[in-house]
Amino acid sequence: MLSQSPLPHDGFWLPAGVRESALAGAEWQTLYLKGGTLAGRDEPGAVAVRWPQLTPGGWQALLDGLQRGRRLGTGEVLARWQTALVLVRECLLARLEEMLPLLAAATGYSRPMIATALWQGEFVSPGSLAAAFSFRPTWSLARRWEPLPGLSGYARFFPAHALNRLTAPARTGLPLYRLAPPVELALGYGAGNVPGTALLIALLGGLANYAREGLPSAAVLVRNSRHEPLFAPWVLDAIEEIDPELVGGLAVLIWDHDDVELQATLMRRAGLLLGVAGDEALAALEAQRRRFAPNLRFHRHGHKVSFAALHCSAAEAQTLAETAALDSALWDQNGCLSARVHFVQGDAEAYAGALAEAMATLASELPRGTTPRRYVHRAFDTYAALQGTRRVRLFSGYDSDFAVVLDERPWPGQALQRAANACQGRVIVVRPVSEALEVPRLLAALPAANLQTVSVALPRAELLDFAEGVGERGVTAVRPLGRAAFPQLAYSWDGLLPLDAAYLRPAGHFTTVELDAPPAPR
Amino acid sequence: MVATPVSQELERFYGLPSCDRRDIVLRATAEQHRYHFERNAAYRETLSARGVGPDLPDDLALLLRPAALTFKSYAERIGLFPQDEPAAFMPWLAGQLSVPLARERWRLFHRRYGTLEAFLRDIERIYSDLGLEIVTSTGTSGRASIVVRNAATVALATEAFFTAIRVCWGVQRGMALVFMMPEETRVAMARTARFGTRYLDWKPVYYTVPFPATPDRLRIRAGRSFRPGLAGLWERRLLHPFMSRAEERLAKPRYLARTLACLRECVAGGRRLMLLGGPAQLHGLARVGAIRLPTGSRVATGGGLKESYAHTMADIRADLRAAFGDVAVSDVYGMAEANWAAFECEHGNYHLPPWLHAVVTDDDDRILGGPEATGLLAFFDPIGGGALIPPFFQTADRARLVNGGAYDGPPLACPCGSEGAFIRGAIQRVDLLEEAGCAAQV
Repeated sequence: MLSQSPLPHDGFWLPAGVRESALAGAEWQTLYLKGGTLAGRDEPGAVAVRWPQLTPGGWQALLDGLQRGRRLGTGEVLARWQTALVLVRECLLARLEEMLPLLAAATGYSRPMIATALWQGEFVSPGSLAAAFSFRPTWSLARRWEPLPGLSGYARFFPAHALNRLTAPARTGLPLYRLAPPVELALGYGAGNVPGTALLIALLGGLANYAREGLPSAAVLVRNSRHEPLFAPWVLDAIEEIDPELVGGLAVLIWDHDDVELQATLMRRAGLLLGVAGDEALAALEAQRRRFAPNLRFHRHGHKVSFAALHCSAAEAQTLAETAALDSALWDQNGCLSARVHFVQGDAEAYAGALAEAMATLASELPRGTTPRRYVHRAFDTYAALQGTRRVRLFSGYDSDFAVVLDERPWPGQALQRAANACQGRVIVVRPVSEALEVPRLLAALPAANLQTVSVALPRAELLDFAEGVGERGVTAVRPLGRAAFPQLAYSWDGLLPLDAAYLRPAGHFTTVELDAPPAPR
Repeated sequence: MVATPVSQELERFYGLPSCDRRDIVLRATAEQHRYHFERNAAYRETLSARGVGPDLPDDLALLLRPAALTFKSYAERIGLFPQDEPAAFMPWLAGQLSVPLARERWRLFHRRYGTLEAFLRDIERIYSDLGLEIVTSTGTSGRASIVVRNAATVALATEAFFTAIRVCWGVQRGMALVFMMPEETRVAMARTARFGTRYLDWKPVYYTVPFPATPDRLRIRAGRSFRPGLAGLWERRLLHPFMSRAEERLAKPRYLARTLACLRECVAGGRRLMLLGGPAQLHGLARVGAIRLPTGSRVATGGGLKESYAHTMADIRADLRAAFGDVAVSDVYGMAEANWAAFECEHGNYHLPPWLHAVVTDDDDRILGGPEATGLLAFFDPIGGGALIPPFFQTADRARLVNGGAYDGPPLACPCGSEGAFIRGAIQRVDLLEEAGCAAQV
């Protein structure tokens, strides 16, 4: 499967039990990937990937087969996943040398970066998902921060509707969640060239019936991204070898989501729709959902921006910068969790200098991928033109692998928006703030729905006040500095994901504070 | 057309062998670089930061400034509304120009202006001795480019435009020009048309959109940026929806009717004509009234599709041909920042003026060689900026360039016979940052 042969690699995955019947009569589509985009057949270094275009009979066989493959009871599914994920990691590590070159060529990310991000993270740490499922949030979470049981962190819920905000005190102690209807099929859509999205959807979709004892886990059908279709099939192949029952009801394919008839069929059969894609793609899915299956539950994760906030003295600059650099370097800031503007209380100049050094080190240890260097050039030009104001200083050169800028100008309304938009492709704007609580005020200039993570190095005593401020603005996760690119599924992304897969809750968003150790009590 | 010395010079370029053109243009580029480097603060600042001095660098890409950033960079200095801060805008403007703007006149400006149009008019009035003409982009992104020209560069743009339509499209004096655009606007192509037809005393000429299109109106209609405070609330809640509805219900029927009336007048007089307008607007015209234009007439689209539109350019062209009697339908490509336009030939290729050194750059801003290459279009126009600005720009348009400046082999000929640089096929506007992962542009 992983050889450098000219034969196309499988960009899909079907469980062994349905493979033959689903693929009967299928036509095959082969595309060539290079640098995260589709390439020409003759493009040197392009990776050929194929996937089937199923016949109507093939689709029927697949959907029926996935239902038959739902053998695992909800009580055991999580434990089996956790065991499998631990074993699969070892299995994949053994094949790293074969997989990395292909993944790097197809996605455009460098091998060291992919290896660091995928194999050093703790995406699903043992026990954390079970702990997340044991959490029974009540309406009191709409008023105060509460510890996440079994996890090192806190959670808070921000209701979307004014009425819910007003009535929350009267409902303290009442459950925030109610059980979701049983799900036979969870339908997922992934996009982008960051590996792992389809797996995240597969895992969450499979947990949709977790709260309903006695029911089998949901079947999951994921429409994967054309830009990174390789990683999920490799992992699922490995999991199937370890525990075939775990993935017997799971399929990852690529189909045309403009195929209205197919979309209607799939949405009408699904009980949960999960979308991890761009805002436009999600809007298109939402339009189809309204048309074909208005009652289908839709959990979506769209385009996001993230930031860093820290207290930093001159003495701490180097250590903090080395940690923070990772948050902005991984995935070349193409990730929703990538820190863009770094807000610094303290010696911002020392921090910016140290950050430039740290980014230079990472440029050799985790080289940038094929993300256009044009982004760095644009940022450089933009800020070089502002150096005459004497409030802007560049800490990198035009041809550096990154850009680090210290911007001390007064910021009018849309300045943060422009700065955040400039920060892609390893571009960091360091922004001095007089106090950490200035950050929520600045974030008010951005659309709440696009805010994601703030990775922080702040005094424990300030942490929950800070989280309250940014949470109100729409930020959904506060994580320790250096951990932005290594999120744990048990904490909030755009919701408390495990619970949101299995339960219903009022409109609004969660914010979680992920800690290395608990903060001082308030 | 009465040939002027400038137009004769430009036309002479069309007849030069490509290797001769290339040498002349590169020598002129080196001279222009030195000239502007010494006089233009913004250019010098950008290039110095890149490590470039007054001598031409080996890597010409280092001279290129992104067109989409350069003339919008006022927003980084003073925000989106120059009319609110003339005192801060004027130093920015002075920095962009290679001719001095007398500082002592800055005190003649009001402390603030009600509209951008009023402010720009005052700049033109206060510096009338320099003959400044300020053009803007349509500003559909929420930030309009503000580009200054003077009498010399306006004359050059006019000559370039009318020379090219004569050479490329055979549009000769005597043909009627019907511009489905407002006569009063700062949008570059319409402004060039207006200046050109006046300057050349071209007759007959029709402008069929009877409403002025000031930068402020275009901004509010686009709905991407609004003034702060109460003014912004007024714009967002009342003016924007009103203007959108008024455009559809009042303005559009009126300018469509006026255009049809002009076309009928030309047809009745047996006069050949060139009809030029935005593709969506012309498409609207084709759908309300079919009229057979005299043989030898031409329909030209310009400006691209600015907003999402349910029909493709191919659909639009087919409908235009069907509506206007199978006349030639072609497109013109240009931008506010460029003092030239590229005209599409009957084979679907856009021919660039021969005095441009046009190249394409890859994602890392390297100039691509070879007889054909695809990347972001960039150009060195050693005459287009005159004494005002160094017109060495990288556009935000992805194109397949044939016979680009970085290729010095035997040129590939377009089936129309031209051997100069041309763009093959469609031109795609790309955002500065394309989506790769789940990171947002907000």
